[in-house]
Amino acid sequence: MVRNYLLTFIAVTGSLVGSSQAVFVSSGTILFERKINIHRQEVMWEGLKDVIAKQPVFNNANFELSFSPGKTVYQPAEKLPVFQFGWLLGPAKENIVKTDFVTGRSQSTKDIFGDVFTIEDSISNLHWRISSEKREIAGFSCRKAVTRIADSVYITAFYTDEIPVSGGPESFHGLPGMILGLAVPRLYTTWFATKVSLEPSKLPEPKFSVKQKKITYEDLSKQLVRLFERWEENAQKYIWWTYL
Amino acid sequence: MITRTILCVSLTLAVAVLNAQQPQLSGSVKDTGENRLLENAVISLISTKDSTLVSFVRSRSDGSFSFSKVPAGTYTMMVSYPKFADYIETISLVEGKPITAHTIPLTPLSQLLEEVVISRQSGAMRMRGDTLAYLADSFALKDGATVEDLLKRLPGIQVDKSGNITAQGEKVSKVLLDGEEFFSDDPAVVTQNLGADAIKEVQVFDKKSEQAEFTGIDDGKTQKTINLKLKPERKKGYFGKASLAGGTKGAFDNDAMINAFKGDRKISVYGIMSNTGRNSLGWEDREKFGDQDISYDEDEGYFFVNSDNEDFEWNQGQGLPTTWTGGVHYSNKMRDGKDKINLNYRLFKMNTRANSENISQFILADTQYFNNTTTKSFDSKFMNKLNGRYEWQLDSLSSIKLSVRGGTLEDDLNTLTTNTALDEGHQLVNENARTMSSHSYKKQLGTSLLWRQKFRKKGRTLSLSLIQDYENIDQQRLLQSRTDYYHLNAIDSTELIDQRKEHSSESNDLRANIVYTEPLHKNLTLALNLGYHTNDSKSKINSLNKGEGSGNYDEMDPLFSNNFKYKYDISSGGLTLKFNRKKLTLTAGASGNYASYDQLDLFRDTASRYNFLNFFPRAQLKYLFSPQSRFSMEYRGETIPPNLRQLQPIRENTDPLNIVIGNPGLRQEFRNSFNLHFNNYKVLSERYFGIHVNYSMSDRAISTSDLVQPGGKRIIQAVNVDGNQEMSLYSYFSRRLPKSKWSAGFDFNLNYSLTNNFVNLVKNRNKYSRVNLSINQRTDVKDKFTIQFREGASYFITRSSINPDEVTEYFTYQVQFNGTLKLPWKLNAETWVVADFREKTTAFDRNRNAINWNINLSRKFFKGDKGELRLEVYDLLNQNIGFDRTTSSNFISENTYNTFTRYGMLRFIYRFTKTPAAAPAN
Repeated sequence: MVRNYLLTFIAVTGSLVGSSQAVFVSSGTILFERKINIHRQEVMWEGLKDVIAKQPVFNNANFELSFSPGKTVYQPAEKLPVFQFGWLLGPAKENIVKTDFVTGRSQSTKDIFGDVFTIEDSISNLHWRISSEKREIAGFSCRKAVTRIADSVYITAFYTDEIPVSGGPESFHGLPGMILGLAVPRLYTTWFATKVSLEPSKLPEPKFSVKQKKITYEDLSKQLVRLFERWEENAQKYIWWTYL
Repeated sequence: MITRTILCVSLTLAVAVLNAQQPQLSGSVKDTGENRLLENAVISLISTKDSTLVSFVRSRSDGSFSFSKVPAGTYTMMVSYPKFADYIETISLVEGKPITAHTIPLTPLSQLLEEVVISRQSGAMRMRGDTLAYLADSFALKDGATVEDLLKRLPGIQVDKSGNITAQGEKVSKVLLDGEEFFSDDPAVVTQNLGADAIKEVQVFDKKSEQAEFTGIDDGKTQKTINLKLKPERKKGYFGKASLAGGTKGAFDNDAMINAFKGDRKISVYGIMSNTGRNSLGWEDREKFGDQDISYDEDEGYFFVNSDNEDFEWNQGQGLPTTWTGGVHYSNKMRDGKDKINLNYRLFKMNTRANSENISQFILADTQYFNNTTTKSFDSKFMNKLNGRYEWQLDSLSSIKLSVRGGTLEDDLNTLTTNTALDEGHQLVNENARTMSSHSYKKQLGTSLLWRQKFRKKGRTLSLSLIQDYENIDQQRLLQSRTDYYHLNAIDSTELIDQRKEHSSESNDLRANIVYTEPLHKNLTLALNLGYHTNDSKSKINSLNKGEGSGNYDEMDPLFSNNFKYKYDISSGGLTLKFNRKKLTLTAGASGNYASYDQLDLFRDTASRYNFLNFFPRAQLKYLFSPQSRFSMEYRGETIPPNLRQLQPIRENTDPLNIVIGNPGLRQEFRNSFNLHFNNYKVLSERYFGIHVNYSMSDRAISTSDLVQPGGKRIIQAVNVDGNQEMSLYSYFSRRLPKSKWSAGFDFNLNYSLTNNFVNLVKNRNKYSRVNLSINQRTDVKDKFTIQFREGASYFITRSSINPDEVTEYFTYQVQFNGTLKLPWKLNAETWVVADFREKTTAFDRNRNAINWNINLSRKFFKGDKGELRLEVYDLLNQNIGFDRTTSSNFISENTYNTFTRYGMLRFIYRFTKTPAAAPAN
């Protein structure tokens, strides 16, 4: 499919004069806004739809991604307010993710219904499909790329060449530039950069409590699958959330 | 609409034979405009096979780049740089044969835009804003044509061999169905599978961005999109189920239900015919039927389900009912869901044949009585009920809800009761036999109106409710009773009743309530409420004796005839303060009311009036440790005024052995209640833990004074007593066992009460305790089997101070087992067992143990498991008995009644579904 896109590719006649060379900054902070469409979440009970329909369409939250060459730290930008329909959204909504591209390791904390896990693992290898489509996010030209998690969940990312750090919101990474936009259609959720500041600063050091359980993705996944196998079908979404 | 020209860049690759240490691919990147080497350009290698990114590097400061460790294969090499056109080239990497690309030229990008405006207009095509719409029916197509066939016919749209769509010269990257995305990357899924006849309109437009529908971010980037608008009549579907079952002993249980929907409109119909005790829809089916009214309390975070289901007053499973019932539901939404209508009609008929046997022990100071009662009855009920509601969302701040409910209930009841009373030495005291047949007809109509208004200021709300209820009952009863009073085993006297009673009553009730909330501070809210409740009712009973001469019931019995008019008015007001900060919520408030009751005895021409001032203080503390763990503590005080039957009852002789008399001197009871709740659950370990404690004590509690006459006749009067207390504790714990598929838990309950009453004018204190401990185990292996076990023991003890030697104490044990097993050939087996073992007592010395064992075996048939055949055996051991025992005061009784015993049944279930026009699965 990418080939099809690529065939329609552009270049331009020489009449247009190229401007100055681009500036590449590899440290700074990006503010992401996460928007979850509440109205499109599945409810286990038909009658609840009317109640949900009276709520605001989006549940919004801000996250901050700090980056330096080879490292990123992603965490909530503020204390997230309590959302009444927490059960509708499921677990892992206030994740903190530290990624080190040099050592290839990542560390994250995820709150799964009151159990807080610290996940320590090597960074996963995502297979990205690059597309020709481009859009501008927070003033940066971004290219679209698509990948899949959990076999069937498509993830659309928009990354920019202009920030030469291969990071992104949550644990998404591995593109030739910084991810400034992310959409998970099956979760009706998007992350878009609203502010990018390219001031080099020291990376924050989020605290990971010693008490929290350390676990790898594989072991966590085993626990969740075992737990949710007895739940309703849409518990599958809970698992996807913890994979992000 | 951006038209891009394609630049073909030809590139010659210099292929050199190099040794293995060399990078596999190298080169450099150059700006053709300014003729300089570019740093930080991205060079990506994309697999031509599956389009995935295999590797990428950035060019160094001298514009050079190199790849190593790239597997052999064919790649698309893409070189990009901000504000430059992408450079694309296909290369093949072969193991051991490195490639050096010569300098890659990048060209500065500038866009040459050419806006193509479609402005054609005809009946079949329309331009609406930015959207070009084709009316699908204007294009003739063969039968069975798909959407793709339709698209091919539309001017300006091309579809190629592999299903790719081009509209106005641009590739279409999205196909929506009624504005909904089917998140498959392949639009052909929709276009090749959906019939063209389902389409009303094809809309072509530039979608602002991929997730514009739910991000709202406008970035100027557009995508050519086609939206297929379905014909409204194709937005419909239906689903339902039918089940037929017949078995031994004439058992049958049939039901059917269909739910049809079209857009927001929904119609459901169901019917049930059963003589196996099923008289209403199961929970799941009720949910589908859709007559439930759900509201959400934002403060408390709870959902309320107002389900109008007071259908069937089948007395706790007593007797053998046969039911015929059916219902229709209609609901719809108007003005984009701002207006809603919901209508339900139900019809219900139930015939119940019941036999029961009651043994009771009545403990007195120096002696005790035993009563043996048998009752045989046949009851036939016919009910008819309509309810509806309409909701208007007037604007974003105000809404109105109007509900109406009405119905009729016709009831024919015939009972034959015999009663023998024995004294301590089991000598006959009295013997009563009576028959009663009654016919009654009840009509009801109620309306309620709720208006809710919010204001711009957050937290300020005003709500007003008006509720009206009307009820009318007409009843005719025929009572024939004979009571023989014994003395020294010989009939001492006899009391005969042969009366016809005509009873009519009517009640008009009106309630109005206003609640206003005002935020005083960001954490503090005040709520004020005012209410008024008035009720006018009348009740007239004519008791007619059989005339000596005529043989007709025409002689008025003045003692048991009466004609009352009642009126009560209650005015109330209250104030509540609520403090909320982070995890803590504190609520405190009080309300009071002034109630006046007027009773007018038209038969005897007397009037009485009672006034009460009632007070209801309340305080509550709630603490939310986390969404999974919460604690609350509450105090509630309330005055409980005596009701009219306690103050001035209607004289009745329906049960000549138990006569109720009034007490005009009764005062209000004041009850203080405290409760405490804590619960906690951990989702991952599936650990649940909770404890609930309730305690209440009453001043001047309204209790009874019993005067037992030598013949065993009991005269009962309500009186005030002090010192009543009640305590209960309920706790549970359950968790998944580590490294196992089993969960286990226990629950522990404790009840204690201290109640006072008077027996033959002697004060009596009853102490009642009950302790219960149950343990449970369960497992659920998906698609294989489930097992649930529960074993419990309860201990009961009752003492009465008037006769401290007479202690009633006993144990009961219960074991429950429920198992399901999936077998080959789509067979499914299920069994459940309830075994009850009840210890005998001195008064109740019969064996009341029973094991109720049930088995089901079923097999699914047809595509999608639509059909199911099931063999059901109920009470395999034929031991089921209806049983309950009451032991909470000096009056202890045990009741047994007829209920379902062993039968076998064969059931066929068919489920069907048809959803909107072949919409592809998500």
